[in-house]
Amino acid sequence: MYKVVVLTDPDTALGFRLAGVDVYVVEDNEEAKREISRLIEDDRTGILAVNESFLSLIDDRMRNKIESIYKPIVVSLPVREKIGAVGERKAFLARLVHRAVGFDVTLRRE
Amino acid sequence: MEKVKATRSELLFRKQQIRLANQGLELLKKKRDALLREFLPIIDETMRLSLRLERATADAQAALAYTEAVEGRMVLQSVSLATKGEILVDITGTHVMGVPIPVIRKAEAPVKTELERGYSITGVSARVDQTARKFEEIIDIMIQSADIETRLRRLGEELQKTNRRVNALENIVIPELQEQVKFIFNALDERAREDHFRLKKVKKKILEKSHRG
Repeated sequence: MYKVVVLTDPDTALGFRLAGVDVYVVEDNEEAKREISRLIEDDRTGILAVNESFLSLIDDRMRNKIESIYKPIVVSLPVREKIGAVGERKAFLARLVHRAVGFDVTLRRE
Repeated sequence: MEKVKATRSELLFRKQQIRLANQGLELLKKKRDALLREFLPIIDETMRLSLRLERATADAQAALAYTEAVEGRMVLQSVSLATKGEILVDITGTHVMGVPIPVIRKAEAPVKTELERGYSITGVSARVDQTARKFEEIIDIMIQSADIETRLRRLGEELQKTNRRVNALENIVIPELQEQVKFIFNALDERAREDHFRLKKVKKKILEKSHRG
C-alpha cells in the first residue's frame, strides 16, 4: 500500500491536515520543484496531489518522467488563489480531447 | 523535390520504400483505432469527476477561509496537529498500445467519522468538523479520478503523436516517393525513346551507305 501525499501552499495545507492526509508545505515554485522530484523518487508515495499552479511550472524533462511511470500518480489540485473560479480544468481536458480526436489540419503539398 | 538518379535500381528502391511506408501507415492507423477505442469511453466519466473535484475544492477552500476567520488560525493549527493517520492506496500498472497506465486497485475511504479524526470533538466547533469533512471529500474524489484522468491524458497524448505520424506519412512521405517514382519512370522512358530513335537513324544511314556502295 502506498501513501496519498498532498503538496500545497501553507493556507490550503491547514485544510488537508484536517482531513488526515500526509501534507507537505511549500512556499514558492523553486521549493515546489525540489519537493516534487523528491516525492516522486520516494517509494512510499502512491498518489501525489500538487497545486495546479506548482505543477504547471515544472520543466519538460520532469513532465516526461511523470508521464511515463506507474507510480506515483501525479495529479493536480484545482486550488485557486481566488475562490470560485470553476471550469478551467474542464476546458483543459476538452482541449486535450479535441486535439486527440479532432481533425488535424495539414497542408497538402501540390 | 530531392535530387534522384534516374536509374532502374533507384526506381526499384523507391518502389520498395513506398511499399514499406504503406505498411507502416496501415499499422499506425490500426494503432490509432485501438487507442481511440480505449479513449472515447472514458471522456465523459473523467470530465464529470474533474468538475466535481473542482467544485469540491472551491467549496472546501471557502469553508476553510470562513472557519479560519471565525475560529482563528491558532485553533485550526492545533487541531490539524492532532489529526493523524495516512490514507493508503494500492496501485498497479497496465499497458495500452505501449502506453504505461497506472491502475488504482483499492483505496482506503478517506471520509471518516468525527471520532476517527483524532482530535477531541468536544474541544472544537462543528464548523471545524465540516471543514475537515469537505477536505476529506476532495481526497475521496481525487482518488477516484486520479487513475482515470491519467489514463485519459496519456492516451490523448499518444493519440496526438500517432495522428501526427499518420499525417506525415500520408500527406508528405508517400506522395513525395510517388513523385520520385514518376520522375524516374519518365526519365527512363525518355531515354529509351532516344535510344530507339538513334538506332533508327543509324540504321537509315547504314542503308543509304549500302545503296550508294
